[in-house]
Amino acid sequence: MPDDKRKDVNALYELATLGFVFPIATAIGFFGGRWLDGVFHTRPWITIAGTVIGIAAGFVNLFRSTSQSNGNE
Amino acid sequence: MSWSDCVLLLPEIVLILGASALLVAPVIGKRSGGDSAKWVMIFILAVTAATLIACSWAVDDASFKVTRGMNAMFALDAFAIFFKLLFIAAIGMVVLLSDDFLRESRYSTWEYYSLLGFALCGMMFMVSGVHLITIYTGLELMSLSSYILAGYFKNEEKSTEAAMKYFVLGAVSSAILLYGISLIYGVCGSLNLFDIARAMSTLITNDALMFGIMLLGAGLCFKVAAVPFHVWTPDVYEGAPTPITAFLSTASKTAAFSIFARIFYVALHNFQLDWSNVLATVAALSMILGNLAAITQDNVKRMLAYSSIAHAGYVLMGIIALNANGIRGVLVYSVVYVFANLGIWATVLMMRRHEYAGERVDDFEGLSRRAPFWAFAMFVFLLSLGGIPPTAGFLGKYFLFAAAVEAGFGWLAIIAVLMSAVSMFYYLRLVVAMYLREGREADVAITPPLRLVAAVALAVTLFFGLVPAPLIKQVMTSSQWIAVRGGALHAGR
Repeated sequence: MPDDKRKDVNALYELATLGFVFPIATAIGFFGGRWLDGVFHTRPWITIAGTVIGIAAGFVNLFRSTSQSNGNE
Repeated sequence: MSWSDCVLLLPEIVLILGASALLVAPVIGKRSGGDSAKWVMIFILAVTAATLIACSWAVDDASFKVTRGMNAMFALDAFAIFFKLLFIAAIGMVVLLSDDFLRESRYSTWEYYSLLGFALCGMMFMVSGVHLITIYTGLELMSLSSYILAGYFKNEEKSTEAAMKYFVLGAVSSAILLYGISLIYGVCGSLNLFDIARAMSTLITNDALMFGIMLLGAGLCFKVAAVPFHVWTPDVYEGAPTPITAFLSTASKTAAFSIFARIFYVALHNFQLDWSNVLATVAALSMILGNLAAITQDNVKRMLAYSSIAHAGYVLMGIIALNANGIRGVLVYSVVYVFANLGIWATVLMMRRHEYAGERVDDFEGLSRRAPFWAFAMFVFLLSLGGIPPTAGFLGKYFLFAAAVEAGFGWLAIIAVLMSAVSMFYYLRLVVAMYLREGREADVAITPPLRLVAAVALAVTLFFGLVPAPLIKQVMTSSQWIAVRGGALHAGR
């Protein structure tokens, strides 16, 4: 495969993962937080914190991927 | 849609027809110069404002009646009218800011103003929304127009990159918002804000509802650029054409705040305990990170981007407080912030260097000798953003801080006061550059449109700082209905 085409395919692969990474990060934050709330009897605070951190992590990852696809990093 | 709905929607109908006419004008007629497009756009804005004022006579807020239409999906209340007039004024000033910028470029002015018109229509539609679908539709109309406008200079690498980042992150935030809306609908059985409030008064916290509220909050936090959903702001503000940066940092942001306030005051006030602590943390992080990151910036556009993140934190205090002073603070601060910021962007545009205007702090060196009056105006705008009396910024911060203390968020008010002091450090960097440094002898481009925008912004900033009574009176009238719906007045909070 020519180098240019390989680059395009890699970029496409990178962008295609975005759809999975964001919900997975959010779900890990939410369910992880819910489990910890159950362990420490702190419901709902760790669930809330976990979800916010999960969404934020998804956003940061998304931003990095977009920057990379623009050739910034 | 009945005739009464048409009357309620008349300002939006006028605007959308005008914006569509701007879009097709160069296709069906001969392509005339950019000046015609500007004057047509200003005429459309004037007619929209006049129609809105005429329609507002139908509103009877004194008895807390709201003129609702479209099956109670759309309300033309005093709150909406207040923000709509603010949006029209802000867009009018953005049109003036864009004049010289567009004249030097080779891009069509007709489509540009048309997109600004569509964005304004989206903002006006969503601030009147009392149904989550109406709000979402308006938000998307505004956002889609904004993505195109951010990348309008398509041959500029920075501009297209900014648009790409804004679009991808904006699309995801819209998806999050929709998912949150769908969960709230699943639990409450309605998307109408009043029905949601009614349903929530009988509900106990459950995971689906909490998750829905958090996703809705996360989507809105992206739109207002609050931490940790702020990552796009500096790059987009830096890359977008400067007048569009001015639009994104003023009108677009204020529109997001208006729906943030409406949704949380009207629909979610029964669950305040659940979301207020999360939003308070977001507000505190926004103020701290925004102000600290702004200190290290040498690029004025990036500095103002981080500053806008910090200001999102201040306004969130008014929403978290959920009391009468809180909603008044949101309204007052919106006015103050829009005019001070537009004044700053007008001054930045006067410092034009090549295609991107006055990007570095160094560009402001010696401005007090080159243009003493406009250096003074810039000084006043910066003081206003810092919340220093006698500028109007003090009034906005007073309301927000008082609301936070009143609601038991004293710690948040302390952080806000400390961070306001920190913000003065980087605002004064610009003042030091203007007044105490020898500058280059390059001319500043003080064109009549920029002069007009800066003069209006200066007059508003000083007038409401010295004579706050008219603004306070108007804000009390415009926010009364929302405050009552949020239980803020009845509960005596």
